[in-house]
Amino acid sequence: MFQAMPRSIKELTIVAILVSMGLILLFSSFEKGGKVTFVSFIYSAFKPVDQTITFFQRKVSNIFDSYIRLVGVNRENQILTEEIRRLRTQIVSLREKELENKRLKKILDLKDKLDFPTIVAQIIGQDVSGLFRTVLINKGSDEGVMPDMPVTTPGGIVGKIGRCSNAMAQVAMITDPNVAVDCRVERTRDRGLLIGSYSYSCVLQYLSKEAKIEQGDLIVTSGLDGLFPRGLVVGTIESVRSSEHGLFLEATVAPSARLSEIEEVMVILGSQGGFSMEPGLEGKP
Amino acid sequence: MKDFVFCVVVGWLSFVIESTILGKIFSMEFKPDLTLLIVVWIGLKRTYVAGLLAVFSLGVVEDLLSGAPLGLFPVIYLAVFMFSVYVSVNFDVDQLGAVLSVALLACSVSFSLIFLARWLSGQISFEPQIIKIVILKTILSSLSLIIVKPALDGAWKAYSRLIGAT
Repeated sequence: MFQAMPRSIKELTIVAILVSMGLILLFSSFEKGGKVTFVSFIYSAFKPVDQTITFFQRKVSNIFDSYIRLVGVNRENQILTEEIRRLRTQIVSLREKELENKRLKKILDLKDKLDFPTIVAQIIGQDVSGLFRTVLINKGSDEGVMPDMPVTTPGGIVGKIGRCSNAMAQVAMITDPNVAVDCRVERTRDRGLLIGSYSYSCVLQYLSKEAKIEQGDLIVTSGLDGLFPRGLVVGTIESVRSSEHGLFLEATVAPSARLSEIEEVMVILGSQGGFSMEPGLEGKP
Repeated sequence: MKDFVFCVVVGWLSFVIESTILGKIFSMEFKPDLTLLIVVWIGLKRTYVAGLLAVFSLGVVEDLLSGAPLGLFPVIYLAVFMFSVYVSVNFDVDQLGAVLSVALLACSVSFSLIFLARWLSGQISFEPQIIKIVILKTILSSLSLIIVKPALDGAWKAYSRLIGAT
């Protein structure tokens, strides 16, 4: 208590001056209509200080506001980024659906052309070892799929059903050496047996030596094997050569269906017991 | 049981990798057979009962996923497994070179057996392309062991630490 008191004349003087100034200011502020010169003076004197303080106040509050805003912007940014990601996923999904629609439309067109009951299936897996040319489809015996049924796409035939379970089936593709299809050259009507080859193509064997076939000729199924209906597109001839023993001609055939890229296929049901020789796609638009 | 689970899980993982990533990198017929390498690795680990069950089940799954005659892969995998166990018991196969030799032999015999079985069953006729496939696939598969073995060893260590497998 004692120490809080002024201890010398000098200090006492300073206290007196400050108290007086305070009182003057207090009373000056009560004046109405008159000149408030002292107050004005004080204001003027403190103006630079006041301005400086205001300047820094603004700066600090600006920085603070910016920070607060940034926090908000950051949050908003996160929301927008999330929204963009969601929309992008949606776009990709829609694009996929559009492509799927296009593919299914082609399959439906083919389905209309075919005179057999068919079922559309999706490819759900492929041979893991790489030593077999097989794929798995999501339709099995529950949907009427049976071994040896032909499998096709709008592009061309894919192969035939191998093993079959209730809900899925294995398709042996025409490039598998274990699959053979009786075929014709569409232009010349020459017959041959198409067998898969390990080099991702097929070989059309046992063609007559007199056959006038050439590169680019279209190969279609003959329907004579009792498995594939007549007139389904198989592929095109890439090269022709004489067979090993020289008795026949044989041709390398590139499958029309893009076997490594297909996603949906069509299983032609009702092939058990063989197809009638009548129905087929030849001559149909 | 814990060993069995590990073997089956890495086997399934190999199926996924083979049919996705490896299919993009390598040509289908030449892509490395990771599952066979896993079978070799399990054999060298000498996890007898669990290993036998695991390689058999992996073989069955491989049969179902490929166009192989049912039973072909289980038999081949069991033979490879027994061979690996025999080698690990009787020889020092700690070095990578030795493991590579085992894998090279196992792969070449296995791939040849697959084609031989198909040829004998009348599914395929002999083509020169088959020899090329067997040789290239064997080399690529064996060389993959340089990556696969440390990965499997690491995964096994982590799994053992986590689960406490033997």
